[in-house]
Amino acid sequence: MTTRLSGRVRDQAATVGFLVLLVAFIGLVLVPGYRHADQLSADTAALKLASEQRGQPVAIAKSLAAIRDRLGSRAFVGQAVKDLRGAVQAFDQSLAQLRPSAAGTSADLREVERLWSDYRKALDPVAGFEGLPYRDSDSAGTQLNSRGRQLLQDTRQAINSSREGTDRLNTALSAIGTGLEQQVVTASATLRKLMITGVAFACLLVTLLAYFQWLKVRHERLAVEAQNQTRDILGTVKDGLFLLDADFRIGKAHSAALSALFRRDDFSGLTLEELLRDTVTEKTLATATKYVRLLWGERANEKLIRSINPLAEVEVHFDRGDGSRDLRYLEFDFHRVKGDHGVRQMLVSVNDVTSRVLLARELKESQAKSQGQMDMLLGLLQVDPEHLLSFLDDTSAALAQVNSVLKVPARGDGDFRTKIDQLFREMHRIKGDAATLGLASVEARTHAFEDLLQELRDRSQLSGNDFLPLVVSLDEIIGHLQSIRELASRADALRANAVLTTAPRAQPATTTIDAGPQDIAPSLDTLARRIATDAGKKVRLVTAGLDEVHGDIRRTVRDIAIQLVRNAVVHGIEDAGTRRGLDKDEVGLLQIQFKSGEQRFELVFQDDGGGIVPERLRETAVRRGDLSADAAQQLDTKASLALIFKPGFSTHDGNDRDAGRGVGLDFVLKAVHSIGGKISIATAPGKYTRFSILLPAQSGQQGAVA
Amino acid sequence: MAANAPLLTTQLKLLIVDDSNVIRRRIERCQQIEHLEVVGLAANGVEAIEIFRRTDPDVVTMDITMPRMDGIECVEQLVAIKPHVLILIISALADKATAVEAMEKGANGFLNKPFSDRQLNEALEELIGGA
Repeated sequence: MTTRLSGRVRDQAATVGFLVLLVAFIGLVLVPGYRHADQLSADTAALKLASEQRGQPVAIAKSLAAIRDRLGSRAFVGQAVKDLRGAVQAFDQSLAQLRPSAAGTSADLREVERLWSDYRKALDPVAGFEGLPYRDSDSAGTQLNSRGRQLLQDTRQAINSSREGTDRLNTALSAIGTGLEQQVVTASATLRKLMITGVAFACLLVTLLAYFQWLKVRHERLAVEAQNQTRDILGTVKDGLFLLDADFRIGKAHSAALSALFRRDDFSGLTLEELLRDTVTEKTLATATKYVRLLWGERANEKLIRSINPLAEVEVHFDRGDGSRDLRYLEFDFHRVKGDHGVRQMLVSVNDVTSRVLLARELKESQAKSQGQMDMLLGLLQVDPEHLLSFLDDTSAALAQVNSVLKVPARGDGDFRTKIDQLFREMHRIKGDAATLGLASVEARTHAFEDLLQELRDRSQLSGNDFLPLVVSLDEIIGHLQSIRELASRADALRANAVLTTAPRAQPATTTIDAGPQDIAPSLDTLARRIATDAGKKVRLVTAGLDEVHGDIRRTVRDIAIQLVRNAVVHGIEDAGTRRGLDKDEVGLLQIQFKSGEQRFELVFQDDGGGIVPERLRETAVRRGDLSADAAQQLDTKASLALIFKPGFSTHDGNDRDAGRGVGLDFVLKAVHSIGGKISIATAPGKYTRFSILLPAQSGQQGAVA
Repeated sequence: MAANAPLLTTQLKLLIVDDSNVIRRRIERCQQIEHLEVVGLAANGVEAIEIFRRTDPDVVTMDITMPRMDGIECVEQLVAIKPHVLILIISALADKATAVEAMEKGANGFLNKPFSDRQLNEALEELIGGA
């Protein structure tokens, strides 16, 4: 910018300099030169006159002498007088010519005029003589008459005057000549100097002209270069680029990519409206026109209205030529091009963003799908895993049944209708089961299947082909159940290992149902910490021997341990403040020990929490209506402690996800009994609670066989 | 542009117009432009014009959909009262045609709802500095 500005200033200075030089050349050289040359010419002419005049006084003197001599010899004087008159007139004319010449102002000329004026007085009577000067008589012959005598007298007087006058006139005329010669010499010298100056000026002007020519050539070269570069840029750039003028017309230059974007080549002079008509909706076009008009105004902030650009991602349709239309997405961006007096033009860039838009759409759909799966996964987490598994198994069997019903060949309308009834029964049962478990996605699919069946049932005539949509729908349901089964296995793993909240990602093995035995301890630890954090408590879990748990009973041990950990953290361990007040370590301690024997396994679980107060258990049992107050009074400590294994029994007030439903210890007891084990409790209020569980070594193997 | 240059060096008054109390508080709380001082909060166009006449703000943030008088009409009236006022429309962009209409009435910029604190501050700075 600065370089351009200084370049422009330099060019302007050169132009002004050139003009000043030209004016100076005219004023100082040409005009004076012309005047001097003119003067020189006048001086030369005057000099010539002066030198010619110098012979005239002598000629006058000779004429006078001739008149006198002729009068003496009584000869004819007419011609001589005529000559004199001519000479006098010639002198008069010369003087008249000298007067306006270069000598006009000289003192010498005035002297000549004065002398001539005096001389003229003597000459005039002679030169003005007319008639005959003689008188003829027989006696005396030819004699001078009175006029002749007068002429002779006048002539003699004139000759007297001429003796003095001729010399003086000649001297004065010589002086004029000398003065003029000097003037001519001076004028020549001045003219010479002016010519030298003129040549210098001319050289300077020629130099400047050469400079201007060089500048012009240079500008032209740069302009051509810039033009080529612009052409290269416009030919190469991937964006469609063009300029809009105030009438919304496209300028002469545009990028080559524009042709490919709009499938046409004639852009110059086209308006934005003409460019977009038939490719975007009327409303978009109207809004776009208003938007561009906003940009032409100064009020709207270009950056701050970009988000409302109606052509920022616009759907356009192009005729393919065969009647069909091609759908693309174009992105228009408008930039003000500002000049000294506001917005001059609008630079418009256009890009084809179809793939980007489609990709974003795909991404959104895939996100929605993932979200759907996540929702389903979270839903599955609410369902009891055993119920879910048995539902899946039953449903698989039922669907297999549906499939075989569909495949049975049917001959008449009655057969088809029987088929429909069978299918309805099977599908309705699945739908009922799904509804019971809250599996909305399965319910919706089976419902849709029933809708198809109902439609068939309503038909007056049926054929085998009418059942084809059912096969497709069945396939879809089977696929969906398969994905539920996969999700369920993940949900089960999540539930078991408490990965839902804080499990480190570095232990992916914990997300499978058949996790290795060594994984029980870390997942229990994670669970204990998560529950403790939720309950505002601090705990630490110490385990021993869990890595020895046999594969056959691993699941049972883990399920039992999960419930005991939950129970201990929620009910047993006090919060940090209470523990400090009781002079205990503010971090509660949970211990799990597993011992393998030949006949049996022993699992011991102990916490150092508040212990179980039998009195409180009895109070709860009475409040729940399990026992009468009297019956409660009669329970001993052992019987009181047994209350905690009753289904739905809980001393916890809340109903959060970790405790409060009264399912936990009931579940533990059932799990232990189911494999022929035993469970016993030892507790000291304010100190500890210990569950000792004995599991027969055989049972696990039996379970594995079963 | 020249008219805005001295604005930067002096304290500017901001009027917040939005029918949602939550949004008004949000804008009031998160705008942290050094020279911008909140002089009023209005819940509709009528209230906005009343407060505008009383406090003579330099900058206005304006919702479009409001009861009694909507943002588009309000912008038109505010610009009629004070032609050089700077107005930032803050609205959920459901229809670009409506947004463009608000700009035609004389608003200077548009910020889409929902917005982050940073987006709001950047938009206000751009409005004050680059209008």
